[in-house]
Amino acid sequence: MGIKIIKDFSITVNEREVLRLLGYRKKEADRSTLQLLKEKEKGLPELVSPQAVYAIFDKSKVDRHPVFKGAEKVALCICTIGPSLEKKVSALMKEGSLLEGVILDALGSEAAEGVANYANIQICREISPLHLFPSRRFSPGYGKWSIEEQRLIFSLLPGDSIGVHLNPSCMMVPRKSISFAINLLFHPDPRLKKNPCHFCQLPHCPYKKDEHPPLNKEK
Amino acid sequence: MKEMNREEDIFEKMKESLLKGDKDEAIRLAKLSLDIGINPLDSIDHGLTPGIQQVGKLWEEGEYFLPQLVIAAECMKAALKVLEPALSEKGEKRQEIGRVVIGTAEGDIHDIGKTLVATMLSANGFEIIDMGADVPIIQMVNRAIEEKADLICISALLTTTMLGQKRLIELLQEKGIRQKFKVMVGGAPVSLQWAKDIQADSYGENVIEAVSEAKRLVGA
Ligand code: B12
Repeated sequence: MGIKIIKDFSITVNEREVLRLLGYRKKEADRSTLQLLKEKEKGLPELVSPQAVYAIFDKSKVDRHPVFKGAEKVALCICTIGPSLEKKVSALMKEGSLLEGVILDALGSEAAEGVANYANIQICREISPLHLFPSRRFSPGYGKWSIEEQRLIFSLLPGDSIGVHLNPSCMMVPRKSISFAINLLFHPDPRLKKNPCHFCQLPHCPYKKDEHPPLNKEK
Repeated sequence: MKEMNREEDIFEKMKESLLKGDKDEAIRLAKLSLDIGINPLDSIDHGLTPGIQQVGKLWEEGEYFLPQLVIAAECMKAALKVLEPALSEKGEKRQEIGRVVIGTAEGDIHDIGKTLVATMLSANGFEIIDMGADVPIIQMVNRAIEEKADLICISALLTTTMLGQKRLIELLQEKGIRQKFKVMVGGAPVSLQWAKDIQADSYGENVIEAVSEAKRLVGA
């Protein structure tokens, strides 16, 4: 299998996660916030163009970083929702519509997660003939895999095929982009059962997930 | 006596408009206050400022969330936009508690958190010079010198761009002007420990902390 580019698919946005990004953890959101959220959500298709590029590599192609331990093959992927949404957010912030800007930004973050979920499922489907078990997806910048490792992903995948590039500080442009890897193993990964936040070392993160979401849950 | 009540009534309503996040009402009241001759400074000091402070308090108590905070700041900004021209016409100025140069570190294109911090600082009486995102450190330092800033605030989203915060402080030290400015750092991966390690003066985890720390730093 070579490099695959997928475009023009539709994604779902998990409203609960958007609310969590806005700070609602236990309490219900008030009606006017919910209303504005729904309204902005309706406009999403115009601002979001889901795209992803991915490929499956032999373990010899990736480096010997401990995050790939035990993998036979490694799937790498870059996803994005494109630049339109963040341009809209900047315009809203500039004109003083801060709340709309903040809500749209949170929707954009979840839309990016939606693209990553879709690509993740796509990858899992494609590897089924290989009889390998996928790990959870994991990204540079989390836990022990440093953000500088973005360079590995971008050296193996053409980010520009979906309009994403890496700047010198290893930040992806457009901003609402995600890169990830999935280890393909001979045996099911025991880490699958753990909440992904378990592996992150960020102290006091206000967005920490408390539940253990099942793998590949369609959002 | 009656006039006095009317003024207080308007101040109270201004406060409420912020608590409710009613932007149209905030603008209407600002206009009304000018029409009936209330000094805009009084409207700011007795209506809007207590309103935004109350919102901050409710946020700390877990009653309010980011959206309420943001909409209140938005209302305040809109009301100030009505009041400020009247202020400058009178040759008066809102008492400014400190001058802040703020920006997102070089190589960092993310700016929503920084913009929220800037807006809340401004709502709380700071004069803000917002340099936007991806700001070269040297430009930030030069601007702070030019503007005679009290405080430099620098935001970062990633551990890589956080290094810009460290470089900013090093540059101030090299130039022998570290003492001239207070430096506050923030952003998703930033922690109190990091702030200590790089010898920043303070760190704010969120907008409310940013405001209280900024006030503490300038002695307000
Ligand atoms: C939503 C989110 C995303 C979204 C959107 C990103 C965006 N900014 O648009 C998506 C899903 C796209 C994403 C992608 C990535 N993300 Co992300 N993301 C987050 C998350 C959960 C929230 C960030 C956010 O939007 N916050 C909302 C805004 C309003 O908050 P804020 O900017 O932080 O600002 C607040 C405070 O920080 C503070 N503040 C901000 N500036 C300042 C300045 C001063 C002076 C003060 C006092 C206070 C202050 O006040 C603000 C308001 O309260 C954070 C986790 C976290 N705890 O923050 C991770 C996080 C930022 N992401 C992280 C990572 C690793 C990534 C990726 C690299 C993953 C990957 N490989 O794909 C990419 C990078 C994207 C890119 N363009 O390069 C890491 C970064 C750590 C690191 N090693 O650098 C974090 C910290 C998560 C973690 N647990 O480690 N991400």
